[in-house]
Amino acid sequence: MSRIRDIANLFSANTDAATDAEVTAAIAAHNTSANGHVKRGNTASRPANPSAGDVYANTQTGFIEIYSGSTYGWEQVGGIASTVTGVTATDTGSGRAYNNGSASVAFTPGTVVGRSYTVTSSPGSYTATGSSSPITVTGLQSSTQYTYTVIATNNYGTSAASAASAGVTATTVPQAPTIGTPTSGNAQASVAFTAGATGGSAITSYTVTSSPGNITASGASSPITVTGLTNGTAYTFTVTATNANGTSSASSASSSVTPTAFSGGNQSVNSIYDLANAMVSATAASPTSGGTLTVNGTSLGSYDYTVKSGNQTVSSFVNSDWFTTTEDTRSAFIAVNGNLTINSGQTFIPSNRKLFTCIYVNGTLTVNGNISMTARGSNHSGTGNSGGAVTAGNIRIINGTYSSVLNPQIPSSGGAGANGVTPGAVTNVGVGGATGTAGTSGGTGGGGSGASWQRNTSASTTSGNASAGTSFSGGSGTGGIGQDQTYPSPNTRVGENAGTNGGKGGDASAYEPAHGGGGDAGGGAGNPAGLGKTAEGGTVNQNKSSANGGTGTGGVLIIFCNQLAGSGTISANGVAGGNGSVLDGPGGGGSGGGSVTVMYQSDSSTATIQANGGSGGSSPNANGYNTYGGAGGAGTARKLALV
Amino acid sequence: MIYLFHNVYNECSELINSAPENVECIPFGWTEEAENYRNLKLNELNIGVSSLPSVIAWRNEYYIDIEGVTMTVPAHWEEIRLSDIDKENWNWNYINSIIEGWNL
Repeated sequence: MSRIRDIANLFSANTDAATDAEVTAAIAAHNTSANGHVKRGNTASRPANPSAGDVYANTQTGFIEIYSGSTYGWEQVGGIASTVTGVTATDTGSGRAYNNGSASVAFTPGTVVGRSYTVTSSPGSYTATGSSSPITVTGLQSSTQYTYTVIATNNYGTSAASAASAGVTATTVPQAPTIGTPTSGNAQASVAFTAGATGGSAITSYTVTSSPGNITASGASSPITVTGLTNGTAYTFTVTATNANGTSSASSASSSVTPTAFSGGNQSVNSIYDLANAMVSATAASPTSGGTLTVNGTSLGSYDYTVKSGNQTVSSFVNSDWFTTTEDTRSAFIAVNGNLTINSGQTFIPSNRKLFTCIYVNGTLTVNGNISMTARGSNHSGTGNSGGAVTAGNIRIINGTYSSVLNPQIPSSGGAGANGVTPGAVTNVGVGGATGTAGTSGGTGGGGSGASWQRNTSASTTSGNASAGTSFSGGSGTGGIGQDQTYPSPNTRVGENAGTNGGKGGDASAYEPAHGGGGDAGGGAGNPAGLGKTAEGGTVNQNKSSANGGTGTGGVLIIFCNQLAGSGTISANGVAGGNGSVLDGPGGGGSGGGSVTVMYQSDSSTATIQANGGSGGSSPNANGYNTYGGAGGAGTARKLALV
Repeated sequence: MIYLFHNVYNECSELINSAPENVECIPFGWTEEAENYRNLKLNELNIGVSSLPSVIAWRNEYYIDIEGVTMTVPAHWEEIRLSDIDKENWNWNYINSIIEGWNL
């Protein structure tokens, strides 16, 4: 015992321990003292003011610990870092570029702390390392949901991965929009663009910036109109998108446009909208002859124009207030800088055929009556009333995408005209005429063909072919054809084809030597109408009354307005074919419907919009069974949101 | 089968909503996808549409008597132009009565 007592005396400040109790007390005092020897205790009892290199026996963790200094604190000797817990992530995308999002990942270190911690995302395996919580991970893809795990590393190894955090979607500023083709007006330009991705946060606005001038305009969607430009100066534009995280990078620069004040004369513009929009701020003008018109590089004849300033109400329509009397080779533009109201009972329609009519209302268009281009399709074949032919071409209405329609236009070619019909080589059969093909992609409709029947013969009597629609007119119809007994020569009768480019309707044809009462056929509709036909060879006059086709084809009507209101009708219909006479005279074909495009910023109307083909002529029969002519094909009747 | 071709701005929404099971309602425009489908259907039927809305239905062969000679009109798809009918009659009872009248 004396040796133990001697050792105890070495450990103790008290050097005279003489009993076993005194020895035990001396050893216990040594173990918890701060006199430079190995001390022990639980984590909470670590020395308060350690120095680097101090050693501590942690009875709570079972590790010998060395104090490494203030950076890493007490480190376990030989202990791999514990798995961290409580991993949570927060999106920190504010101001972050598109597809370079970030998240702040917080966690709780385990008992054995790490010298470093590494956060890893899923998906993507984006990583970031730091010495303590939280750690920021960057480079995240926008709008992607990520979870995160954390591993801890110290000198003795790496912990297992933590449990994953809850999923967090990375958000950033939006993707840059894609610039479209701008269109110019009077001291302004309309800039279309295609939105990019949101960046995970809803886009709140777009901003267009001009160059030169850095003139800006903002809006919620494409297109955006930039005002305050200088006429005669060429501008390009860029566009940015903004969301809660900030503003995207700018798009590439657009092609250049030069705003121009409208003053009549020859015009070359990107779209019909551009010209009409420029007109509306011009000086008021009565119906006036303009110059030639080229739209998007396509020559479209010439134009006339009328500019009205202030609100206009049509309570007694007078043609000369709005339209010239030119016909077939010119279009008509009407610009109203204010509201335009068409009262009930009024029909706003040019007295003469036009290549097309454009109405631009810088206000509310209220249609309680009618706006019409019915039977006002142009005969632009060169046989019309105002001279030379005008070649059909695509009429670009406006640039951009509206109601899912990209670059709305009236295509140069409308629906096909119906081919003539024949009963074939059989006896006593009648067939109705064929309907023209409907217009596609804004097109007009084709003409309808006349009915055909043959009695007491199998001569394959065939009605004429109707003509196709164009960008200026629905197609023309053809007349009905009937044959009783074999015609002397030629045996097979073929009806007259319709004129092209809104030209003449096909004449009817009929032959009935024995009776003279049946088969008197109606003509096709067109400019002019096809003629009805009393059967040749007849010996008995039964007061026949076959009819000519109707005069006209469906025209083309383009309307822009801020707001559309009213409950009237906006139409560009074709015209009916002529009726056959008594006893089932075959009916003529109707002309094709035209094309109506109404573009509006807001719409509170219940107006009917029509571009119907003209109906086929009937063949009167008491029992209701008859051989109608074919109707004209439907044209286009559409409303597109101008936003 | 009966087909109802219609424009896309609710000009005949009641007719569409009350269409019997044997009626396919086909919008006429104006997206490329819609136009492709309606053209496909019209080509399949080999008929044109002249007016919107319109109903296309099958009409059986029928006969016309002209001064003692019986004329045959072969069976075919035929268009009913609703624009030629009062709107108060834009219902399937009325439309079906027309079709049934054809095929008595």
